Amino acid sequence: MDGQLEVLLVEDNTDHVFLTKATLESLRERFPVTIHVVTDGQEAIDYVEKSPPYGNINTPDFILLDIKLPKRDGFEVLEFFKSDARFKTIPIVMLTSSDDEKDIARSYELGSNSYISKPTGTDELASKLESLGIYWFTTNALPTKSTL
Amino acid sequence: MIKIKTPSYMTRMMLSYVLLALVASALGIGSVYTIQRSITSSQAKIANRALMTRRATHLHDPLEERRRIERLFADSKDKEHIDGWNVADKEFSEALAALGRIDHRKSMQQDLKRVEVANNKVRRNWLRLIESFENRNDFSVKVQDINDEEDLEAEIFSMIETERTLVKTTEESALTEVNRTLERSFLVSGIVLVFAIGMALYMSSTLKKPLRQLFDAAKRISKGELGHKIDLDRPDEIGDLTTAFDEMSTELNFRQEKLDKNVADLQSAKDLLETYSHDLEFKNKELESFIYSVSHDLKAPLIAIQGFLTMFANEFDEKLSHKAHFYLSRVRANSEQMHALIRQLLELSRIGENSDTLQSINMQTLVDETLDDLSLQLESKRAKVRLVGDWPEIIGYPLSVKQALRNLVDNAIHYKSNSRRLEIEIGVEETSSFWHLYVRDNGMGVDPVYHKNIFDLFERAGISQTMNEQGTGMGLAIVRKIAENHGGTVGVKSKLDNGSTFFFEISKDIAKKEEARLEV
Repeated sequence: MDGQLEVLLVEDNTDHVFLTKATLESLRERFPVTIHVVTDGQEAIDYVEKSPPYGNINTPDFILLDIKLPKRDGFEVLEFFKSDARFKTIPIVMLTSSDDEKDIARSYELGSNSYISKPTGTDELASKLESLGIYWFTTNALPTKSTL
Repeated sequence: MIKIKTPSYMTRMMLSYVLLALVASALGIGSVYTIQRSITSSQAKIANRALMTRRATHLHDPLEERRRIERLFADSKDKEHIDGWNVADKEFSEALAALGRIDHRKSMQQDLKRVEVANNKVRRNWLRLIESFENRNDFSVKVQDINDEEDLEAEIFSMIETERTLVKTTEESALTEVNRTLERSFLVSGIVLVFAIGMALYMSSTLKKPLRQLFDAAKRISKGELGHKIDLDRPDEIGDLTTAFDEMSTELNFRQEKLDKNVADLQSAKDLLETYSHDLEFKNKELESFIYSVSHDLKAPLIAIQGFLTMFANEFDEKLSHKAHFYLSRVRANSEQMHALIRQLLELSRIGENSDTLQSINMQTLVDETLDDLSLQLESKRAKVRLVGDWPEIIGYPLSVKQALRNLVDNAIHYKSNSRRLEIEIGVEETSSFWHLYVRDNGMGVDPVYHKNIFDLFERAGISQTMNEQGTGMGLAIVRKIAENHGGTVGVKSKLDNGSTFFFEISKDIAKKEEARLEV
């Protein structure tokens, strides 16, 4: 859908996928998004790098990243993207069940743009996305509709 | 066991010296006695000779008298002189007899005999003279035969000379005897001296060898050769000494071996303890990581439950009955309680993890951050917070210290008094080896009966779950673990309904302690 933000949700728990999707859905008026889901860290990297089977996708406008993931965990994925010049401008929001200070600190150290502890309410998610909004809306020159 | 054997070395030495002293004394006394006796006897002899000589000279006077009367008679032919001559003659005979009585020696008697014979000749001459005068008035024989007179005098002289010679000889022989006695004394003294020196040499030689052995043995023992023996079999004190020395050496060796064994036992016990300690530490780590992963895994479904609960409430809110709302609220409250429990379990299991590194902490900043984190709760309770003391820079694990402080302030908020406005004082005191951090409140307080166990896991100090749904029973256990990780302790001062002061300590030596711990 034209003018919609492309979001990559990296999450292995299907219930959590469902809940996050539902939350984002409820914010559709303020944040019109298209959600793509991958279920482990390696898939996330493949997706963004457009490696097979993800040959023909758009680079996501932002990434919601869980920490505890199969194959490569959230920190590895975060570090991978943030240390690569091609991808480091993609905003990454850690969306995780851990509210451990150490995990939060490590996330910011590795360059995450925001951190959300699950379970997240729509209000919290909205405010976090808004705080990031200035950044990606201006840099990506999105439609005026989204500038709230 | 020491047995005194005889004759002992000391006894032998004493006996030898006493014997030597006796011999030397006897020799001395003998020499002196001999010399004295010879001198005494010589003196007697010399005195005797001197007397004889004196008496012999007494012979001269009557003899002279007799010759004078003979000459007078020859001149005067007076018979009156005959009596005078007889008196003088008698005197002479008596003097001669006296000499014979004094000295009974054969040579003397022979001398006296010769004098008597010579005298008899003179007397016969006189008698003949007298006879011829009385019978025939013949004076042809006028005087004594001068030769006979001279013979007599010669005999007397010879006798006196003999006596004189004898005195001289006696003196000489006495001197010789004294000299001989002295020489003999010197000789014997020399022999005694040689014998004494010999004995001393023998004694010292019998001492020297065992002393040398003792010295060497003592040196070897001092160099660690315990149990070294001299093995000298001697039936005297030296033997006793070396035997005692050997026994000492054996005993020392025995004790050293026992000590070595004890040390070895102790070492192996220590090794075992270290192994156990390592095992325990490993198992503890394992348990913590188990708790961590279990808690983490428990969280995912809980989050789904809470998420669906929210969606359920949002979507069906209007369609739900009053009862359903109540049930739903209980489900939500319990799931939140469970969430809190899991979060604290995670915290507990992650204390002292690698991500929290030992570093310098600005306590002022750390306290401010902690209060910022809790600002919403503090404001909602209208709490008054006061900071006391100069906040130092300390060495510690910042995340842990912050968590401990937060847990204590959290407790103060949760257990506030219902009748008073909440006041919290946070302070630091410096002792010689600790930083003493405390949180004081005017809350409901803790009954002293719970003070002992209040820092144990899941201990609630008499506060029921329904009274405080937020409490997990882990907050203080976490504080204690953090304090222990910092080489310190925790404690509480409180009375029921009279506020509480909770404190925890951070060792100033924590850096050194951690270094030592990591080296092990």
